[in-house]
Amino acid sequence: MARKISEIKELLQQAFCDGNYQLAEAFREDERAGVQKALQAFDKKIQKLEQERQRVKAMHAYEEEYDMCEYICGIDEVGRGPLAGPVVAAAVILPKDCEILYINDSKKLSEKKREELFVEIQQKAVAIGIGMASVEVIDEKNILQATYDAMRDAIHRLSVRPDVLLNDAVHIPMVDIPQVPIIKGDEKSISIAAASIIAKVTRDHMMVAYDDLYPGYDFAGNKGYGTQKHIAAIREQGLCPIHRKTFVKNFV
Amino acid sequence: MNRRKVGSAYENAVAAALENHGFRILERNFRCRIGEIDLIGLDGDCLVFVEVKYRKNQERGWPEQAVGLHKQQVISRTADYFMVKHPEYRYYPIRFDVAAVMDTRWRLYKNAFEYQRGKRWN
Repeated sequence: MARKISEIKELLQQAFCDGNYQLAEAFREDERAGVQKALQAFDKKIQKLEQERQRVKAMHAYEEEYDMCEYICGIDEVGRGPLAGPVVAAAVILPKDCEILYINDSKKLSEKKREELFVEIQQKAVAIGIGMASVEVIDEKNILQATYDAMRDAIHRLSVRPDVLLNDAVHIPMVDIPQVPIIKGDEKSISIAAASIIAKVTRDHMMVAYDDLYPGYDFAGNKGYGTQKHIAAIREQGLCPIHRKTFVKNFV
Repeated sequence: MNRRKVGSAYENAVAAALENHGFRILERNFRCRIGEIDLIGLDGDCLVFVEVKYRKNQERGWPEQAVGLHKQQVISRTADYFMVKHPEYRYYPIRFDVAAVMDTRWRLYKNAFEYQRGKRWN
């Protein structure tokens, strides 16, 4: 009369997705090893989910400190290091108590996860601003000033004016909004982590598109960073319009 | 009579009187999403946050008793917001005063309460 173990496994799987944790109790008494194992796995899944919820909650520490502010904005950038392409900055304002599971500094995530979170952040964010500084600006000024330009650009493109900026360890000159530089901010603050993801995925998409335009350097893979393959390609076929001349002096 | 109007007329009177006493008024009705502060000013080099309370008479208790714990927390948190917006005042010594107004008399209770951190806000 008892159900097949495989059926129970399916039911548990579904129950986990639905958030129906009570269902498992119906099978607790079932002494079959297969069922017990399935229940153990189920319990572990719930435990891991709860741990992840707590981890994300802890990433609200700075947002909570400033929760008397209406709009709290995380700022981050990507593309300071590569030999080619623009530097991209993002400004992201999240709603209070926003839960985005598995969010982290973009460098710590797989590409697949980054793309998923990229979509989720856009769905949940109150406002997003993306700014960039071109190769020309980087060559003309320097990468630091270009990064500041990109960040200011991102802030100005927000649809609302933030009350406070949470930065990943920088202070942006010529910005009339209170700023909080946080060391390792992209790990500690959910807003900064969200900004890092928006910036990274945006820039990655751009570099993949540039690969079509300027093939041979594997921009789709290295995103402009100086991999062996990339440097070898520069030696072979020279530079293209999106190479940062000030960065590649040594290879040419 | 419009209750709010009565309140702010007395805030005006208090503001004017404080200025005569050497206060430099920085903000009136300073707002943030949590709440508001009636008056923010400088008393010498001390940053002062003033809550003005008006009562017609003492039937419902002295005006100064109207600033309970919750209100103190709201004012404290709003003061935090002021200091985020004005980082030049971030390290000034601060004080929370209550200006109790009853009919034509008023009194400033300096340091009426301490900064109250309170629990997390929603």
